[in-house]
Amino acid sequence: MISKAGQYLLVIFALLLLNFILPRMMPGDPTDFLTGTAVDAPIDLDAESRSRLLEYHGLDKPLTEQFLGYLGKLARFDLGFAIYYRREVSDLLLERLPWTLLLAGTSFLLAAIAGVLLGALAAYRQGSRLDKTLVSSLMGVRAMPAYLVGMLAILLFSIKLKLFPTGGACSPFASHASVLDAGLDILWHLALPALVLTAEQIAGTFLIMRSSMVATLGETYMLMAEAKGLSWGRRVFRYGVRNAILPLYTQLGVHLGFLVTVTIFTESVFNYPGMGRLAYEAAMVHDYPVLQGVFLITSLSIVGLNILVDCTYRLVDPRTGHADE
Amino acid sequence: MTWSRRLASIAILAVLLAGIPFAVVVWREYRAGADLSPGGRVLRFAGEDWGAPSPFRFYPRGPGYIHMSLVFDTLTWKDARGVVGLLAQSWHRSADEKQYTFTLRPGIRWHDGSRLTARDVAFSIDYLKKHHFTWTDLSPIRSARALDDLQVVVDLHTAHAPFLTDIAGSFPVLPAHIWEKVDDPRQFMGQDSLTGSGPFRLESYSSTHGTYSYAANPHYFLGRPRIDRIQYIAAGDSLLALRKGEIDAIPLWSRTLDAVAEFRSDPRYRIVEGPGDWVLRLVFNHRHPALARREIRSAFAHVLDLDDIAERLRHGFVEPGSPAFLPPASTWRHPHLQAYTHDVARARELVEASGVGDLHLVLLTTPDYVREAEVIAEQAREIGIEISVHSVPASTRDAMLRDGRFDLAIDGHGGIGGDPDVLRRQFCPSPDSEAAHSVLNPASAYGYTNADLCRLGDAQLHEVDAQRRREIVLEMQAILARDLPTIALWYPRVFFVYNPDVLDGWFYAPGGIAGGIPLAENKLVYIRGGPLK
Amino acid sequence: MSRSGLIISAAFCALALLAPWLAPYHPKADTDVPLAAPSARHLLGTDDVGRDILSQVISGSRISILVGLIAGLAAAALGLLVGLLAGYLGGAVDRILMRTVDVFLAMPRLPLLILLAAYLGAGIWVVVICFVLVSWAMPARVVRAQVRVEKQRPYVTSARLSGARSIYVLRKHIVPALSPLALAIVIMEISHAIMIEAGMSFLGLGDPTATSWGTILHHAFSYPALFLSDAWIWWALPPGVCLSLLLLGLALLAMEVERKVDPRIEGGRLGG
Repeated sequence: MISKAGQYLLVIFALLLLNFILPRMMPGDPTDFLTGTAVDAPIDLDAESRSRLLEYHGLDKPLTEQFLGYLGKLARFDLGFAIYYRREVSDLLLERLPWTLLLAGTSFLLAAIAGVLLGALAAYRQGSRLDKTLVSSLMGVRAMPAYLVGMLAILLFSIKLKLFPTGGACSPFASHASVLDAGLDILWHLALPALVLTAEQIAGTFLIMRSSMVATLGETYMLMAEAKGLSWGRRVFRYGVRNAILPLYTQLGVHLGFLVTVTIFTESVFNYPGMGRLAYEAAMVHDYPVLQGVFLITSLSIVGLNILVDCTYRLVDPRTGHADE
Repeated sequence: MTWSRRLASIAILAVLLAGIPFAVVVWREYRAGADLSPGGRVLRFAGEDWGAPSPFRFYPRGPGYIHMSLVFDTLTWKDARGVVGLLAQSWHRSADEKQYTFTLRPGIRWHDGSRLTARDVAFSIDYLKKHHFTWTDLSPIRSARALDDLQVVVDLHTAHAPFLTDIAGSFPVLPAHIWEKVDDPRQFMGQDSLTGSGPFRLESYSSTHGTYSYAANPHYFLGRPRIDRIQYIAAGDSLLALRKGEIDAIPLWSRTLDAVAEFRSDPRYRIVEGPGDWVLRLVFNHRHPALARREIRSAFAHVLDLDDIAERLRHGFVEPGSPAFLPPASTWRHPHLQAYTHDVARARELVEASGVGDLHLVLLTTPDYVREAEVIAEQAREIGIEISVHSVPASTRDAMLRDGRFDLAIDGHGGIGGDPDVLRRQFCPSPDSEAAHSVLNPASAYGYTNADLCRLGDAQLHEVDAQRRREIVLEMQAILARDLPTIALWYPRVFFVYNPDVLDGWFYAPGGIAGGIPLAENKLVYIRGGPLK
Repeated sequence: MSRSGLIISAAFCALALLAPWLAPYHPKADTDVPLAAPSARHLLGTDDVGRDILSQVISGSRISILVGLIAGLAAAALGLLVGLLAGYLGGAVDRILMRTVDVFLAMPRLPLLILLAAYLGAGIWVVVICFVLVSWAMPARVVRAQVRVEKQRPYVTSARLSGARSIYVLRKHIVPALSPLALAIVIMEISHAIMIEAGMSFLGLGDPTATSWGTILHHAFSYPALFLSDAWIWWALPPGVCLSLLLLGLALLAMEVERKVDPRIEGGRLGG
């Protein structure tokens, strides 16, 4: 167990190092984006101001020193000061994080519930027309890229049918009569991007659920349950889902990685103010501290989730004494 | 059933996963909305995050500066005809052209009610210089001092022709009583950092949503603004938002230009066209043995069909490039320069006469201008020059340009419609840097130097007589047209589409706002703008 | 359904091979006025610079499939090798390799690709290299698990105990047992590579000089007035539909192969 913890620490250290090195590998430095060099702004920065700026943000020091400084700040939960965005990185991230969590969390929940239900249903009716239709249509949805689905959804539901807004996360400057109104407004903006993101994820949970359910249905205790005359619902949910949910649970870390990718596309298509769009924009203006912050949060949550799953999957597993590794 | 309990707790955790963020954002948005007092005449734009409108916090782009200019004022400004006084009522230039004395308008007050005096102006210059304010180059200023409450004297190192537009019309005047206590302006936030003298006060800003709400300053020294509130709202697609009436005006430029036709035919909108203070250029690496030769560069000028590029790729929403370099709308542009005609045979002769063998070049571009790059490659092939197109993100291209890691590149930039000093800044190496290749904008002409051009460049900078200066500038353009350090491909046209029922009287200031921002969102429109319904 | 994956994939391969003969025009040739509606001359109309869209879509299959094949095969090969080594050798090698896998799996994939593309510039080879870098880890983990299962089988254990050399055991017992899984992995990686190439091109980070489906989508969606008219029907939809169909075909094919490996893992392990 201790060696395992050590290994995870190593993984986290490697991630920190990569987070630090990768943005700095890009050609150019952030001052390009503060001056007229990279943009059409009428700014010319003389050499002195430029070096002063680099010095101000600590970018003139040798890389190792910068890295140690970065680690030291991290230990104090200080993510640094954004160069282009000109504010504390932690403030910037904290403002955006709830939106991403809302979008990704809602869609994940919807996808998990729908995937489990549909997967159980398809497995129970394995080989039927319903099963085949479900498998091929859900796989078809996953084969469509998120940005394409998103664009088509905007076109159909926002532009043609005018049911939903074309983008954004809430109505700007609306004075809501009550908290309820504010909530409804946010849900109304959330609906389309969350549905697109759900559609992208649903096939994943569905297929895992279906295959482990197919396997479970063949087990003898299921046949016993049927022989005992338990109803369909009881059989499927009390025994089937319960046993089939484990593979779903152990796949969470992988799933999160996939979710990050799709979220970036969805956020950029719907102009949704989350971390994904921030990552893309920060890369475009070389804002190292912001990039590091975004990378850190995403990779730590993936590692964290993996650790959590590693430590808790036995709780989800109805059978006891499941072998380690 | 312990297992069901476990499952139930996992389910609850999962619901919290979406539920907590939901509660957070709902509460935040509810509170944000509660702070706003609704009503009044509102002007709405499509919002995007350009940073807080404070001198050290706006993102260093034209729109960021425009936001800051609503809250902070400068000594001079531009209206539809040119430079006018803003905080300054009048000014006087000394005979040696190295000293300006500004007289402020009387009775100007900061948003917090205290008086704005000449001391604030002198303080701002010192403070911005000391803290390396990046937007305005204040290095030509030697010192500034207040004579009394209303008069401030600014001493320059040498005569500086673009002083009134690019410096006095660009740096924000800060309230000394607030900023003198601030040691690190980059970390200075909060309400005090947003106390200016401008026609509007920031009432709400969200960097996350890219929304801003400004309320009119009823005591503004030029009179109460004609609109009570300016709002920048998050709109998914600004064209659709304008169509739906969610916003009242949009600038159209670059790829959105094709939409002009959509709005031209609609009587609900009016369109003003502005000067295309921007250029897309083919950049040569003058360190490349073949490209260092003028014949080869002229061969490029002859073989490229700029009219075809403008018409086919940009549907006529751009003006074809000219060897004069300055854009068509610039009053400083050379009126009679001989254009390089599209003449493939002549181009081929030039290449053959140069004795340069087979040429294989890499053309660096950003994804936005791949089509231009492809057409250039296609046309250059006609004279036996093979070009492969390499597309990189803008940031990467700029770094490669600075380091000289390219043969040919496509680069676009603004700032060319204002003061003609841009010719010196673009094409003459900066004296304060040691490396031979470093021009201030290295993208301009890597490795190009022409002593005559730079001599003229220094001369025009210190020449305050407009007529003599103009002659020098024309001569510089003649040199550029002959030397061809770069080829201007096109100048975009810019348009501003607006709903005249909300606010009319929009204009583009000649040479752009604050040293060359080619936008129509000029604060004078909000104060004096045309009839409102 | 069982054959549809194979049929779809084969059809697109045929399209890619025959593209120069099937496409009515060169994909880069400016053949007509910009933004022409579909007509007999241009079945899918023309784009904003007057290029024939049908020809672009047909030629686009070549880039998408080529990039998919190269990048997918390379990533799968690397993943298989690492998984095989880690699973078979075990011990310290296994731990080091698997922690490396953990690092790569924890790196957010698309942001990483965006960074790499920004660093290396856009080009087909850049897409391939980036893809391999971010995509070898998942198959490595899957293969390792399977190798460990195979290693425990009685006939493998007895072969090892009776002194057979590692190479022999690997070649004789483990690799054959793995091959259906490996095939499924290769197909899934190819399909991921195609998806990533399209996604990066859509964001403007792919090779914009190569006409791929992603590039067509990029140009279509960055055209401002796309949704103000019906142009999206013949401009954005065809490359999008082709891309989705091909990805669906590959997914079905992979599922079919995987089902042969073990009905219990179908679609699951490589999903996502």
